[in-house]
Amino acid sequence: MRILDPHIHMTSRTTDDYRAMRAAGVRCVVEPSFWLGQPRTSVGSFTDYFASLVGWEPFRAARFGIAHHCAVALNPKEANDPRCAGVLDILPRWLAKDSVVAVGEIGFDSMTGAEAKAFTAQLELAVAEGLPVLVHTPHRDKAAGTAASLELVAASGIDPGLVVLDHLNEVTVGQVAGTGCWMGFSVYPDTKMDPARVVRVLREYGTERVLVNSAADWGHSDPLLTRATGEAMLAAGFAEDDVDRVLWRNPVEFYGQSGRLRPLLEEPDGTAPAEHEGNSIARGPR
Amino acid sequence: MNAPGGPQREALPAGRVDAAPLRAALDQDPTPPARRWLRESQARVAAEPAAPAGLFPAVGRRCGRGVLTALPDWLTEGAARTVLLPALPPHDAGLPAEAASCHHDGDAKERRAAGRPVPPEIPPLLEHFARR
Repeated sequence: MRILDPHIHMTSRTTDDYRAMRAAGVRCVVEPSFWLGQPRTSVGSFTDYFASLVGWEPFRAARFGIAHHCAVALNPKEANDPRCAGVLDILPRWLAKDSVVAVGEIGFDSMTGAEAKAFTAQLELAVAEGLPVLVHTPHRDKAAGTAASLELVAASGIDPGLVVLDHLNEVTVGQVAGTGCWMGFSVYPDTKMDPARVVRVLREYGTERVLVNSAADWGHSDPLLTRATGEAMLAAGFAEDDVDRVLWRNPVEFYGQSGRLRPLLEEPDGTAPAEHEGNSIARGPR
Repeated sequence: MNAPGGPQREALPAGRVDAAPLRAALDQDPTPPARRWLRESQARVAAEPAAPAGLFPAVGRRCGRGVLTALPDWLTEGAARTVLLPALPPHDAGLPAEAASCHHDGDAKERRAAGRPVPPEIPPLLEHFARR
């Protein structure tokens, strides 16, 4: 089973996770920028975070045989903090980086005017840069947030095939299914969507324009739930080709629209650089 | 991000760089779409001083990463970044803020180009970053 996890926050995960993900079939990840739990208070914090997403983290992933790409954006929650508004001004230089394959996560958190303004501005940046967009749908009042997100996407004029609405569930998937946008499902250990629920959705809606991710981060989450979903699909009677489509070919197609996705490392296994700008993940004397 | 088998880094000419031979070499080497993108980018930089920040990281993808045929000490992307910066409007003193931004937020290749051609003097700190 080959897996591209299209939404995972590896900055928050350990090398043990990378090792286990590789063993489970993960060969590529896309890491969207997001809220770090602790609010940031300046644009400079974002600059360093984005630099890590295009520098240190791809190096770390490559050490475990995994290709790493990212999406950059001002996330919905911090779009409400005026101290972070300047992030929108610095985004063009980061969106131009080779390993950036999308704008994201953008969308709504509390459905404020500031969130809508940042959402719209970043849809414009995506159109200008020709990049796909990862839209976070809110955890509270998800149906209204999904509807409002779809309205902004339509108003922006972006090709809906370049947009994924993420964190969908049984309630909101029907809102997105007929729009031409992609449908993203984040699989969590206990709450929200689990593998069995995703399988039921796939039975009803099919495998076209569907992305399945772990959204693993610093919270209660599991980076191996993509694999678990693939196994649940097989147990439910889906063919191996269906699993390959959902867990590999679909995310390759979606992010491949950027023209920048390299889903497999160029270096043969075990030959990735041991250092990134003079630093390594090794411990002890070198 | 070099092409497989390609050079890992360019030879670094000492001191400041004369952009004229780079421009001449770039006029004959990259593909026509790459040359067109570079010309348009130079015009954008001249009209919009903040433009290089969004252009610099894309140079490798748009212009190519191989050796520049007419100047084999140079990679195409390094030469293209270098000629983008002199297109900036004249600046009274020191490193223009836009070049500093390319340097500060750039990877190693972007830093080398941003630290090289800028008149009149390259601040010592940037020189250090450019050549590490």
